[in-house]
Amino acid sequence: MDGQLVVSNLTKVYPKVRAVDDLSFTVQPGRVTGFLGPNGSGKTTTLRMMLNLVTPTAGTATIGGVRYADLPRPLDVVGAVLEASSAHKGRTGRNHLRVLCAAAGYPDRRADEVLDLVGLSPAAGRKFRSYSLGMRQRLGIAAAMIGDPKVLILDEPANGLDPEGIKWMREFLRAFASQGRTVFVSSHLLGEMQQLADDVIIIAAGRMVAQGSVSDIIASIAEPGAVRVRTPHVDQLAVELRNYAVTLEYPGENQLLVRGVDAATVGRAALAARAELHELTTEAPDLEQAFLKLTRGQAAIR
Amino acid sequence: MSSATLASAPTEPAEARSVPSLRPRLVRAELRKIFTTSTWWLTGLLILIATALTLLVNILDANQRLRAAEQMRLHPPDFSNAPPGQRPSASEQQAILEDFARRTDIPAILAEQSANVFTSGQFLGLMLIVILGVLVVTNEFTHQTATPTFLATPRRTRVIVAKLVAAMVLAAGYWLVATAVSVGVGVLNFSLAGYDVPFASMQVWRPVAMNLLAYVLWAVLGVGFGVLIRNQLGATLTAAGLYLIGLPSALILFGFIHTYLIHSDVVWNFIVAVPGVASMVMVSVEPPRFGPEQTGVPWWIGALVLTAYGVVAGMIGTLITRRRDIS
Repeated sequence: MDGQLVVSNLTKVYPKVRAVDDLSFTVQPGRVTGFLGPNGSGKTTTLRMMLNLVTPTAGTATIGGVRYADLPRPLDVVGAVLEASSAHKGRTGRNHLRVLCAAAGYPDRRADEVLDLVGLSPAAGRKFRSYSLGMRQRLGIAAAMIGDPKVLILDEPANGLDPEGIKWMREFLRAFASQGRTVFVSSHLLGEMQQLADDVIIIAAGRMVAQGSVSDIIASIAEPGAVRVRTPHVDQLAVELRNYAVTLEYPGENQLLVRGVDAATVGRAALAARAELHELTTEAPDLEQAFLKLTRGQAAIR
Repeated sequence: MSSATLASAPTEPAEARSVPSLRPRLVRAELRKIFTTSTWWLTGLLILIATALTLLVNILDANQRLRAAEQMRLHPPDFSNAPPGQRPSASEQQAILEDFARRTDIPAILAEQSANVFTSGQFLGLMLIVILGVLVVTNEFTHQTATPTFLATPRRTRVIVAKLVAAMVLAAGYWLVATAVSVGVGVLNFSLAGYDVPFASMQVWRPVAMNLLAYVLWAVLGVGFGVLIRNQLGATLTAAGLYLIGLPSALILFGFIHTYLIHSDVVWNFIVAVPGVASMVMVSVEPPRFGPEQTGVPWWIGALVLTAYGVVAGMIGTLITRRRDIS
């Protein structure tokens, strides 16, 4: 069984809202696929429908061609990390995993193996209530790894993690995908996905907005960066730049922000205007702004 | 993260398939959930305290009744000294003698009191068991463990069946502990007083056995309550409340019906439809009577009613759980 995820016309209608609206996409093995959308866009509901926790109003979701509910041994196929605190506060991390081992039919030592895998062995005997958020996320990953699955599905795994924890998570997921396995991870931060994902699926208000490789998506939605100029001859340069299709901003004294042309063109204009340049830099495209623009009007509280 | 650590493959588990929805490993998982938190020993401790206290009261009461009977037996009714004019008639003498025989029937009193002593702690024990059943389900939602539970076992009926079985096994365990303490101390007390407990008498072993059935069935009812009312506090209060006020409110309701609607004492027989009353009828040696002409409902009808409630609660609970969105 391969680890391809196929979502077809998935829809979830709650009494007052269409949380997920006719959503279709596929997620390929061997890659990290980001699932992006503003808060409340239906990401969690979609993931939970894929895992048989929420019943779809319409549509199907399959993993390797099989619905989650029909997987004979689901933990061997899919590992999922959905909430950061899915354990009894008074139970130790090791016992939490041993309960799952018993339910999935694995020996108790598997609990220690996955604790080791996520670097949580020193805290194995401590109660869950004493765990930091980072430790809780690691325990969630340990639980997902019990069956050594082909697919990992994670809902906002970076939430509340410190930079070191985010780096660890990123490396873990990249290593997992590099073994030909599937990683499907949701987030509301495009910047975070840019560092982690190969592909992205972007939804808003329960509907598909864009999907494709991260570089293609960014190229299509991100505006070219503005060119920042520092010059004592702002007025001369501005007059010269009127010859091009540009928009100008004056962010401060002796400064000019030019949109619509690249740095080389601005340099050429400066030469023609005999303007002395102290700085000429291209600003990186603002992914978050672009992402917000793409999903604007649909990110409202529904 | 090296790929070597990721590739640690788990060993193949053994699959057991006998009854369609019963998976022994799921029962083991459910039992482990209970034994890895403080719930099990807190419940056990409370049941032991309840058993110990009522045991003390019941033993003192039994000893007092037996002593009173022994005292009375030394002074049988004697009609020879009575003045001829005031001597009771033959039929009256007969009645007095029968009453005396009943009040001094030591074996019967011993059997009745043994049963009472051996089921000590039942009232509070059953309430703790119904709460335990509630916790077995509601803990999953309070602590958000329903998600990993149903991820590991998407066939939710199997999870509920495992929970029912685990709750029943636990209830039987608590019954065993409570009964071992009661019977141990009780037998010691009776033998010190010079009595041999008539274990062979149905009057003694049946209430003890029915006590086991009551423990098991209230555990099932608790699981049903837990599924119906997902809020832990709400489910606990409702279950405990229905258990505690079931009998008094049933008495008021049926008293009203008897007084104003249907005047026959037969009405009282239907009070067994209330779970708390069914439980009481089931564990009683003599059918409890609420009216002078009531026939009394035999113990097995109580058992049937309570079993029916358990089955219905379990089935409704399973159906609801299968449909419910876990989010």
